[in-house]
Amino acid sequence: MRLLIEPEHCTLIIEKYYREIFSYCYAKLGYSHHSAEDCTQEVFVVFFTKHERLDETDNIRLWLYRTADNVIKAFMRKSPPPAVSIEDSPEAMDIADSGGFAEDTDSPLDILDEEERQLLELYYDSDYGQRTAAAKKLGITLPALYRKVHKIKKKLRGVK
Amino acid sequence: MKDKLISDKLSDNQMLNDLQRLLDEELSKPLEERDLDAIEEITNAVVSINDEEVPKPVSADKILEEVSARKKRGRIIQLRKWAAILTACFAICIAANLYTINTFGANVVETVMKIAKSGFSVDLNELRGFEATDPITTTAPPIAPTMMTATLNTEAVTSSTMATTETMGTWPASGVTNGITTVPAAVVTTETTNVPAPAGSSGTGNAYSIIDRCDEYSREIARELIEKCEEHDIYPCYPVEFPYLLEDMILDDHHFEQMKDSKDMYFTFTNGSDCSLDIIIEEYVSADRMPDVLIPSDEYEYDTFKNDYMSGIVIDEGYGTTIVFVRDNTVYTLHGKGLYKEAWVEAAMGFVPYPSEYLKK
Repeated sequence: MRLLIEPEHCTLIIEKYYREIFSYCYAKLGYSHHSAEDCTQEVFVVFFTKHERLDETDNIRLWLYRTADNVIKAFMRKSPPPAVSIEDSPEAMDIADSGGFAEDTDSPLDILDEEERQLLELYYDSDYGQRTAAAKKLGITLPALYRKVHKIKKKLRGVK
Repeated sequence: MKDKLISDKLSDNQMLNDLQRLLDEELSKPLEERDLDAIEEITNAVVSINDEEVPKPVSADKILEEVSARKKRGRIIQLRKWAAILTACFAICIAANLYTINTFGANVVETVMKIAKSGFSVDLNELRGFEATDPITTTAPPIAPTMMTATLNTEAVTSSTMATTETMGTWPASGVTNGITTVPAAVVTTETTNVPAPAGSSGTGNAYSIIDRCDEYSREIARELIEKCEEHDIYPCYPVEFPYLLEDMILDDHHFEQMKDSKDMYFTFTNGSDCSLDIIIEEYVSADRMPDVLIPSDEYEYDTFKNDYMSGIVIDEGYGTTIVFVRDNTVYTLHGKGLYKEAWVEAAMGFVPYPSEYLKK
């Protein structure tokens, strides 16, 4: 059965997938907020231009990702990002290296609770493969582990 | 660990690198096999680690508005710029056209129009050179690509000859004879438009002065065309006379595109019911940049029209009429729906050049 996409349906689809598609575009576009925002909007415009109707079985999410891939490719052809690697990206470096503290700071780890200290130790004392395994052991994914570590680092930056 | 914290400067780069690696691993799989939940989690983590705020979702209305605008543009653009895609068809068409000319003498229309597989190609430069004094011509197709035999060529010319003899009727009682719709010459020559003498004002941005020359039915469209085009330094032909059936037309959508060789304006006028008029104005940097253009059509019949200033080609397909004419280095394509062909031809004949006294010096 094919259903016409009504404006209300359109709103639901946008609200449900907007964040996800924005994040995807952001990760693939060298962490450029504006580029990701433009591409995300374009993804939905393209999607609804091509899909006036949907089958009940249509995988909207997959369609959106596929459309996002195409939109990002087209965007990169038109205006390729200055650099893809994080180290070469000043924007990313500004964000990622905004913290740090001097050698003479007194026990910065004192402000962390036991669990936070353990997570930080886990992070610093292992490589990529070990971290992945450790995250699994903790019952979380690597991205989830990294989000926790990021929060801890932010906390430490606050006392630098 | 403190040493590592110091050397790391609390940077998140390593984590971001790892997440990119994880994302790349997932994206290396075929699309259908990718774990979209994993991708979502990875990319959300990337956003979060960069302390990025996800913007508010754009409204559905805005998206659907853009979707609707693109569909309209797409419909208009479909009428134009197909020439490159159909290069292969042209080779056949040109051969067919030359055969007709060599055998039966030059036919101005046939040097302008060529039949392609799915429509007409128009040599805009030839159309531009179309003399205003040429008689109105209505003709059957010069020859279909699949009809390249001497026998069939003869048939084509027979049709053409018959069609030409049918041009003496009076419009609007235009005839349909032998399957060929004609626009009678008498009407075409009497419906030419004279531009009144300028009022004497000068400068640009004078849409309101210029439209004083327009009748009540064409005034609104003329004003929109002139105002919108002047914003992009285009000084277009505009209508001074329109059939009364078009009096309620209002601008529904318009946009500008800066192309490599041209400045393009797209307009859609509607009257709130089924009647719509798309007008495309393409100002090329020079006349020799004007491409051959294909007008998609299932019909292999066309008419021509002319007024004091320009000549054009008319293709009618029952559900819509497409008219192309050229003035200097600017191509005008009118696509009307919801009215008879004759009304659209009358509208096209009402166009006159932008008054030279208002042009920016």
